Amino acid sequence: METHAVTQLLDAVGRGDEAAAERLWQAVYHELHAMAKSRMAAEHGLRTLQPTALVNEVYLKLFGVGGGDAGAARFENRRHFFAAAARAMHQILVDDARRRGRLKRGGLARTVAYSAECDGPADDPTLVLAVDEAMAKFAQDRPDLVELVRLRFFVGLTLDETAEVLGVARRTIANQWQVARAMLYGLLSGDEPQQ
Amino acid sequence: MRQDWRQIDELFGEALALPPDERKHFLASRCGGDSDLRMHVERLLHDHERAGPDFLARPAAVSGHQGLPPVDGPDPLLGQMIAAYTIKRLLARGGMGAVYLAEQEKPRREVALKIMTGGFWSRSAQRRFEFETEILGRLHHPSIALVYEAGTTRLGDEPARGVPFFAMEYIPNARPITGYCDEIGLDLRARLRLFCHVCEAVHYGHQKSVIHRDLKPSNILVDADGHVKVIDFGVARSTDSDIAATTMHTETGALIGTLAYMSPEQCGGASSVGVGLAGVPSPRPSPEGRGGAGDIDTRSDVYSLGVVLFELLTGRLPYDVSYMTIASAARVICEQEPARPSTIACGPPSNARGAGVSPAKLRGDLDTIILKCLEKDRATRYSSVAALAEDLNRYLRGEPISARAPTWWTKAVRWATHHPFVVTGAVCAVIVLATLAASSLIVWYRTIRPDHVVRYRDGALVNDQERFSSADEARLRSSGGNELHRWGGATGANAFAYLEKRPSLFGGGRVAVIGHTAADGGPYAKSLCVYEVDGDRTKPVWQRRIERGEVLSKLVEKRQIDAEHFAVQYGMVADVFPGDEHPGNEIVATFATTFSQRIIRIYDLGGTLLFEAWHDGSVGLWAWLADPGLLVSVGDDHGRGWDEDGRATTPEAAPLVAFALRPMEYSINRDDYLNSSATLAAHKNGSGPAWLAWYRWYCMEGDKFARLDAYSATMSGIATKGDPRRFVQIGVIAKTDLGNFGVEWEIDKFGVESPGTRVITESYKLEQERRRQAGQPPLPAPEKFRLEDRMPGPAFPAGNELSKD
Repeated sequence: METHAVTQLLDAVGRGDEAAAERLWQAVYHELHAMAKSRMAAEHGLRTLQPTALVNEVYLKLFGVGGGDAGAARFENRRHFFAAAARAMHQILVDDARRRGRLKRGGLARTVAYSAECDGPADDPTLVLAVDEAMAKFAQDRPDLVELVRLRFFVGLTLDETAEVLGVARRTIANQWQVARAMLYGLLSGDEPQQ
Repeated sequence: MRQDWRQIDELFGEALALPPDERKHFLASRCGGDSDLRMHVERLLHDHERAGPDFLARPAAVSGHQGLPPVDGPDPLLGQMIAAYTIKRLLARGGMGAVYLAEQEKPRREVALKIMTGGFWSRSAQRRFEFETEILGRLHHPSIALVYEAGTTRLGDEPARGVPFFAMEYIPNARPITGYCDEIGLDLRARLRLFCHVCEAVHYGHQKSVIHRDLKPSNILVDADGHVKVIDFGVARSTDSDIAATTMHTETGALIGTLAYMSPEQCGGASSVGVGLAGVPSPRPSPEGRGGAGDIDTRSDVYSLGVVLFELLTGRLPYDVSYMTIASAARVICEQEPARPSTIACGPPSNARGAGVSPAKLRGDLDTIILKCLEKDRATRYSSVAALAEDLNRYLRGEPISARAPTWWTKAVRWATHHPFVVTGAVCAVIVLATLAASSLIVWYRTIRPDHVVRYRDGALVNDQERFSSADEARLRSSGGNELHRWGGATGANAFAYLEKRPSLFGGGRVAVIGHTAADGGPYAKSLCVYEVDGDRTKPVWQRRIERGEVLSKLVEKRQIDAEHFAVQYGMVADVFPGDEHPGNEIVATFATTFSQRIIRIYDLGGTLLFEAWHDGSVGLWAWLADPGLLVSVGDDHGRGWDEDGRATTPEAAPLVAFALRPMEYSINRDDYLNSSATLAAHKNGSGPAWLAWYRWYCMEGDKFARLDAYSATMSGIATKGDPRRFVQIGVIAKTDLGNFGVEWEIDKFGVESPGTRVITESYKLEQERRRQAGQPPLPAPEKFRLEDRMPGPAFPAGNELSKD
């Protein structure tokens, strides 16, 4: 996809065009997916891809490198881009986890009781799936938290980066992240909060 | 679900910031009767506590393939025998391999079996492994996990390759020290005490010449009873799995987890290796040839312990290197200064690990201790782990610690050491800029700074030495030679004060000009005009001209001066007393009337008239006699003589008049002056040529006009060049009955008074000698001659005395 086409898409998203948002997401998803796949194929020993790096690369690829003319517009559009990228990353990770989960256990664990014993990276596919599933439960009420979880958990942005992308104060983000974690943990641990 | 999420979020955030035991009360007071709201927040808080800090702390990652054993399908090692151990289950998997719980037959016990699948394994490396592991077996410390056995084994279908393994003490329910502290909720002191146990264990290892090399929370475990167990002691070394090796064979993510705790010297090779990784991987050098091994010492462990302590107390790492490339992470560790732990702990409670530790407690000693561990230069770290532990113990006991916080100067030097090119460049740039700026300033200053006045006549420069000559133009110049202003340019006699160099020497000044507008007869015609050298050079700050009414009445009578005939014809101007010691604050001006009177006026620079004296006849030159403090003017009107009333007599009389004035006497009584004007006669020594003559000298003393009997002057013109009247030698000689003696001032033929030429005449010396022999008091030293020292009047040549008194 051409750079200026993406820029136009971003502008459209900025104006609230739903269809454009969908197309942007598809474009970003396509790029991210292709990149992640090629990465895994090329580097045999590479187990962990860094989503942040991937997203950044896609960003650079879609918007070209070094062109300074549209800098201001890009900055404006960062949030839309990251929203799309976070959604795409979310999707890729869930797909990947589904595939791996299928291979390993032949099915999905519906609810995962999470334990913090393992200090390793969160490469447990069940966790990804569980978070995805739990997120869906509050997606209606808390779209802000969904976006936050995507950026923090699925893309792996730091609190500062997240605050910058969302244009929200870091304090607020930090607090919301704690809320999201607590809610997700509550949902994952099985006992549903009373309505 | 409730819709007022904002409220819930806020209450939750505020409650979280409080200590746990205060939260209940807080919620009760804030929620009031809204039990629904309160329940929601409490549930969130509850879930938050249960979730712990690690939940979702690491982002989801895209997973792909990995080394042995494969993730897909069951682990092929399960149930297998490795050496004497039966593998039961996977405990953990890391960058270098996996740790299994295994069972040993004899003695029957559970062991942690670490199988290093990640490393590259050569013959020499294997020998080294055996040597190192033998040493590890000697480590017996309650806080160090025992290594029962180390060896190599063959895995599956790779018979050619020996895979190293360690059988270590299995610690059931062990948790990393950070997780343990947070879970138990240890307070600061308890954390420090626990950490001191870690230090003891590491120090023990150091005493046995084993460096741990890979200290990180996952290698510092705490068992169910709260005992510290340091695992993997020296494993990194024995398997030669320092960063150089690890980077080549393990994936980035796992390495980064370790990298965060690595000291700069351990990372030192990392960036280069990382770069090498991106290009063509070079074959691994032999362990003996690798510089890294020798470069690492016990202080590297001090650094890693510092990172662990940092994390233990703040809940964060000194540097966030997650999601960086290896090279940039290594650069951060080697170059970036860590934040002060106390400032980290101030952060929002997003990383709730350090919640039990308030930042205020870290400020000061603990900041200093931790930062000393984290010094980039190991020479400035604690020299040993024991020293670190000792300082922590001092802190716990409330004693002063040994570490000192680095001063800002130390920090600056350190920064400069790490950025030599930047510093050199900056210093050079500053020097160059400063030099440029200074020289431009000097040039600019020299260009605009008034420095001296040069006089011109008919377009030609008037010789500086002709100080009393008239000129028709004066130009003010800067020291750089720029012409800043010009006065005159008109015909006629203009005179300019001799103010050369004065403005620059004395910080500005004034220049006096007479009659520079003579040509058009403008308001300043024949006026004495004084201009600010530094200010507006076109408008005089003051001006003075001679009006008819100022002419003395007696002169008016004699000359029939009336308004119609009166005019000021020309003038002379000079500043008096210039010299190093006396900058000169007076301007002497002579105005000439159409009736050949001259009036000498002395003004200060502000335009106040200090003195005036009428001189009948022209005034040819003047000189400042510094010692008696007199202005001497000499009339040069050879064509005239004066009678008692100052009336011109026959030309044959042709007297030369020397007239001495005290310029600092402020006023003169005109009548007195007129009364004594009869003394304004000169005496000519009858013999000799006209230019060699004796003159009487007069001076104003107070408001009296007095004759200076003690003073006389010789005036010897040397008419070899130019106007003979200008080239004079003036001597002031005390005249006594015994003859002439005294002091001479010499004005050379260019009119410059040359200092140091005073000579004591022979007769003075003879008189002194005579007095000495006769036992009489000596004559006063000639330098001290003043009016008060006057001696009795001399026997002046008879017949020439015209004076009334």
